[in-house]
Amino acid sequence: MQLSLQYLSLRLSPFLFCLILILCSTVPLFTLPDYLYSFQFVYIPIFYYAIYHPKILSSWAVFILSLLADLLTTQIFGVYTFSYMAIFFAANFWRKYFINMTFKVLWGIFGLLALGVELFTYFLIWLFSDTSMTMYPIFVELIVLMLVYPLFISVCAFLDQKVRDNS
Amino acid sequence: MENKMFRLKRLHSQIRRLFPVVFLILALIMMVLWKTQNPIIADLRFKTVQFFAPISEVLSAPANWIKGIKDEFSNVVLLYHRNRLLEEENKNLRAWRALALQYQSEHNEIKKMLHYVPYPKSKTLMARLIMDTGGKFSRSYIALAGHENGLKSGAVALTDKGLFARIIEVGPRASRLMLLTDYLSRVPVTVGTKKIPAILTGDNSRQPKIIFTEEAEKIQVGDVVLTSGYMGIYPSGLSVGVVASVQEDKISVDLFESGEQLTFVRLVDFGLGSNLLQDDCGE
Repeated sequence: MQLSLQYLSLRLSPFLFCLILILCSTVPLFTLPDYLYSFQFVYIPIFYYAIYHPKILSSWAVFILSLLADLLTTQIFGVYTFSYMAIFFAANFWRKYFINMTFKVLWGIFGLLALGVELFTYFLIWLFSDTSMTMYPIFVELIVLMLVYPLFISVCAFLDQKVRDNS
Repeated sequence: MENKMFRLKRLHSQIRRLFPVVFLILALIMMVLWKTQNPIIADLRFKTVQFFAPISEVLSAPANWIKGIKDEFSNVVLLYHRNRLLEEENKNLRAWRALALQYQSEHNEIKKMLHYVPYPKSKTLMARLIMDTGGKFSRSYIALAGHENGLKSGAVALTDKGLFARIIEVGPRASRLMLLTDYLSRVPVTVGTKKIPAILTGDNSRQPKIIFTEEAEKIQVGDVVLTSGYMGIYPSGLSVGVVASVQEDKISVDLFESGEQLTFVRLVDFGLGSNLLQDDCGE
């Protein structure tokens, strides 16, 4: 019983980790001059689990998380669902190729993927709200995401290893 | 039997592969639903924010603490300089005050003579701001006042400096404010002493932009921006800001109230709710 509870909590750990990252992204943790910044660190675990362990953070789980992100902000409803699912879909679709790639190559691919998703999100917001905004926060976010990528990947790999050890 | 099981498993895995695509399509449908201003979405959003409010407050505490220290430090450093500026400003304001009192008495007399019909009596209440949520492109505040306090959607949030936000969703005990800097915010304004009509639109930066004005060339840096009262969303004459820069196709406005370090706001219901557009749901 104790073991199954431990296993269950470990199985839920990626979901809870993503949930915390989403909550962090909705509060203004970073106030820099001129613009608002919010960092979608949750892209990293979604990318990781879509490649290495899609059963533990399934498309359903990502959908629920993205829905929550959409409900928590005043952003156009569905924008986060779109961006999270796009990251998951792309990483999961090519996982056969991604799974054998080196860490550095995957790091670069993640950067390109995040940039693509962010630009498409920007386009969607422009389309739906008819307001052209500066792209500066997108590039700042991308740089920060690339810098913290190894740290968050290490956390994901650690949690994943624990689940594998206990299964 | 084994063959059948294998087929079922294959079918199951094929269906599972389709899920992300289905969710992507669902996301696009959600955006269209949002565009149609579905009240269910607004209600759901509001309830979710209220549910997660305590957690978000805890998470934002370290950032607020660091920000407080930073502000306090800069206040101490700039104390002498600010004091001199304030003394200077105070001298000017005293002169302006005398002039303002004279104008006010004239204004009241003229209003009496013309049988001026004022705005309906407004209801005012002070509310505490508990947290703000947001992302790269938007930011909003939650005020601790709602239906139970007699608040209605469409009321405006003011500070001693000027217009700050508008209430877009009202719950029983809390309400959500849309800031003037939000990319969905559109405020009908007049610019300068010539009262040039325009629309002030947020673009996520701290300086909203002036759009839809036919007399852009007449707008100058330093012109005061006030609400115009057109469309009945905001009452006329509320202080908004001053024109900060005028470039070819971009006119930026420095808001009187930037919203930094706000704890309390004055929520004023001018009784314009009936004129509001359909986006005011949650009532």
